[in-house]
Amino acid sequence: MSTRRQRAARAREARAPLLVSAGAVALLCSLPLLYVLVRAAGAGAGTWAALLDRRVPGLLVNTIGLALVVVAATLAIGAGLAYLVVRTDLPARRALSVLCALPLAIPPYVGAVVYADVLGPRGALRDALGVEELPSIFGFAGAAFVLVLFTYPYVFLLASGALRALDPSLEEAARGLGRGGIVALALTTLRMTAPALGGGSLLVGLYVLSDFGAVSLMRFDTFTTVIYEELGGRFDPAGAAALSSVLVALTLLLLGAGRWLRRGGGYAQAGGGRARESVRELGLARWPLLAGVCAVLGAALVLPLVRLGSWSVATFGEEDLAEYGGWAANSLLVSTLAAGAAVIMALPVAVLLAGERARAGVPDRTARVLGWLAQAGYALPGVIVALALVAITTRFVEPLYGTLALLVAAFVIRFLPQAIQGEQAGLTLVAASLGEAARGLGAGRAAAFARVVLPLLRPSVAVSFAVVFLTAVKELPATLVLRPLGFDTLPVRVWTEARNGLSADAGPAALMLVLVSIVPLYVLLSRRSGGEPPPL
Amino acid sequence: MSVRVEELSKAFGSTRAVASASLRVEPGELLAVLGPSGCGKTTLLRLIAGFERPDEGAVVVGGSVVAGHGHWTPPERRRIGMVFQDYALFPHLSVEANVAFGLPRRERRGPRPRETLELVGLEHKAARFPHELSGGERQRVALARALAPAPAVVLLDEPFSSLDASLRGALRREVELILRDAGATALLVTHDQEEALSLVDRLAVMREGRIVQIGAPEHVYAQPADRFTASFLGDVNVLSGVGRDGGVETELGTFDVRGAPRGLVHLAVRPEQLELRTDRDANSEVVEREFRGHDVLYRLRHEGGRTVLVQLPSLELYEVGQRVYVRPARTAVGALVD
Repeated sequence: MSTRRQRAARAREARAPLLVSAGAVALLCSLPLLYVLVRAAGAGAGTWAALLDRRVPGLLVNTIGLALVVVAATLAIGAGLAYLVVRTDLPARRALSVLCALPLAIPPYVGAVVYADVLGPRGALRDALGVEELPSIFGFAGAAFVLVLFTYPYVFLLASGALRALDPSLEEAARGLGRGGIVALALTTLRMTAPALGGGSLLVGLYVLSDFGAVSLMRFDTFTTVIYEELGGRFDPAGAAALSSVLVALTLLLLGAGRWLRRGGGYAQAGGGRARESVRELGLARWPLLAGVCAVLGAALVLPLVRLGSWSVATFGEEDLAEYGGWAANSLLVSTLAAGAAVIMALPVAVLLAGERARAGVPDRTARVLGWLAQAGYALPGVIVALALVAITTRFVEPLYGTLALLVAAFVIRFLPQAIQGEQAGLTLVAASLGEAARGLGAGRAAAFARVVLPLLRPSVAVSFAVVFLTAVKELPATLVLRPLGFDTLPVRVWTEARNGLSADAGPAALMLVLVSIVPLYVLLSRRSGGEPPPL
Repeated sequence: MSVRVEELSKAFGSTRAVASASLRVEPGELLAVLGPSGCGKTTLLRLIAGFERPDEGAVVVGGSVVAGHGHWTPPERRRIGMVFQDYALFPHLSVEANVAFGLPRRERRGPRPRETLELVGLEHKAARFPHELSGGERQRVALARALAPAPAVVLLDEPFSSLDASLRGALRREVELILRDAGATALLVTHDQEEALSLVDRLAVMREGRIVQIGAPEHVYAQPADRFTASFLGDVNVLSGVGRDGGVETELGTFDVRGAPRGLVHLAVRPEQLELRTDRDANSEVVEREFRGHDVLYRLRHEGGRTVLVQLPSLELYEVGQRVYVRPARTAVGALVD
């Protein structure tokens, strides 16, 4: 007979290799978070007092204000578009439902390059209007405008997915019970899609907090731009860490709010899967509404593509094509390495989380904590990862500073959560009995994993690779700080040219970036309309 | 080889899934563990296979302790073949590769996979993939995969539950023949009493984590140890009566019961152990008739007020409302129950 303690010890022993590898991954991924928190705690009262007195209040107002405005506007645009393309007889709504999601493929900093030019002091709009001077696009308004245009698809995708899955008979029942059109819509549909809208807002909010490229090009100061400047100028590690810790606290607060909103879980529905179609007739109102949808698409998709296209045509004649090839190759290299490393490193964490879940309903505390730490990247904007890695390497492992390996490590830290979630979802589809069957047939734990689970996991590993690759190829702030000397990627070129006021020269690199993401996104969206958005 | 389960217990939280269960499967024997869902029979199987660790007790396979008494052999070293309820065929492997999975590396390309597929009559499907097979074929592949490494014992978890009712009868016989051909020792768990009664050498009835009765199917059916077993194995009338020498006297007549105690007892009487007559004064009325093809189940109201179930061949039919005389059949033997 064995005691509970002995059994627990044996269970631990059995998954020791898994715990060790997942633990190593969790340690690497939470290193920046730990660095920031420890360093900020040791910053000293003087530093904190100075920061809190002068910098922090203004940055808090800027950052939170920007996040609130962008979230509110994306909610209105994203949910409105979703309702129009899913639940009404809007003309060409099927094509529109794909098009409305495509701005997701345009990184906000690319959008910022375009609009800084078009709406800028010497831009196309000024020429078209023939006026002397336009109100300045730079600052809060420009940053908010650009972020809204290129992040609303998060809300749109989640909302339209939820609307498609939602049984329209609920709305009809409300109407049948005497709640007329608009009230029925507001009460029932809104209530039922609230989790999806909340999820979309969370993604937008997290994006705004972490964005560096768009706000820096729009010359609007938020935490990320100030931390970046700290890194470039007179580097004060303690002050930068203290500022970072405030930003991390904001993202954690937002993540916590997201968890709290979703605490009730999803709404269960009879039937499940795809609901039948129910379309509300718009009547004559459909034409002005269609014009509104087209205006959004024109601003978020057509205008940027046209502008980038025209710049590219103009530039390609003059510039050296080989140079662009080199930058593209650098982007591909670092993104491929990052995606490869991420899908491998995500495996032990995903197995730990999924395996425990399958066995006991919920992962145990060790698995949960390791899972959180490994996914710290969610709460870490790129500049903070860069700051922490710079500080850690220059202090402890100097030779690593300025290497490609360090840049890849930064990408892995930031994008590992996507790989973990993709693989975890794949693992839950592999029936537990398959692993047991393999063990019953004489295969040990490792052999059962290699011969059965891994081959079956291949599709979700491939998808995770693609998602991380597509995110990594657009990464800007960590690349700016950590890249090896002379290692320019497409995002770095776009940003640098634009910062130097040479928007047209940023065109070809930006267009390449957009095309790299827009093609897979289009394929993905046309195949399955709705559902979760690919995290970009 | 034999399998011995000694006072095995396993709790999940505060639920005791298996509570001090003991049984023994003899070499070459086919034994079924029969019980309602949730009685712990699948947990018992998983404890034997090594997918769960027992809290107490031991599992002995072929003379060596694989769990308990301070020993633990992981499932991959127990030489146990398991056929899962959902078959758990590897979807990325062909039928032949599935069957070869459990063999040592050098034997995977040898004749053994083909031989085993021939045993289950599926050699012509060797190159197919599991999703290309019918339910019955999948099950036979699962069986072949379990048999290929010549395991000490084969465990089958509800092997027929995911098949169409029309397929079950034929497949049951086929599986039995395959297992006997292979000379396998087999333990299957099921909640289907017909399956258990028709298929196996011995039957263990499980309830709330315990083995309540074990014996030949005909014995367990005719002499159930308690009311639960009696009613779980089929329709039954539980009658009260008075024990006398060599029999029990009930309101329906006297039944042969060996060793009946004197005084008030309860008797389990199967519906087919009663018969109906119309040539005497009626003591019952037909309330309901359930025509089952080869036989008929009648629900009668006895003049004493109780409901009596009677099963008869469908040679002669009685109408609802007809008044009849019910009495023990000539060969009727009742079983004493608690």
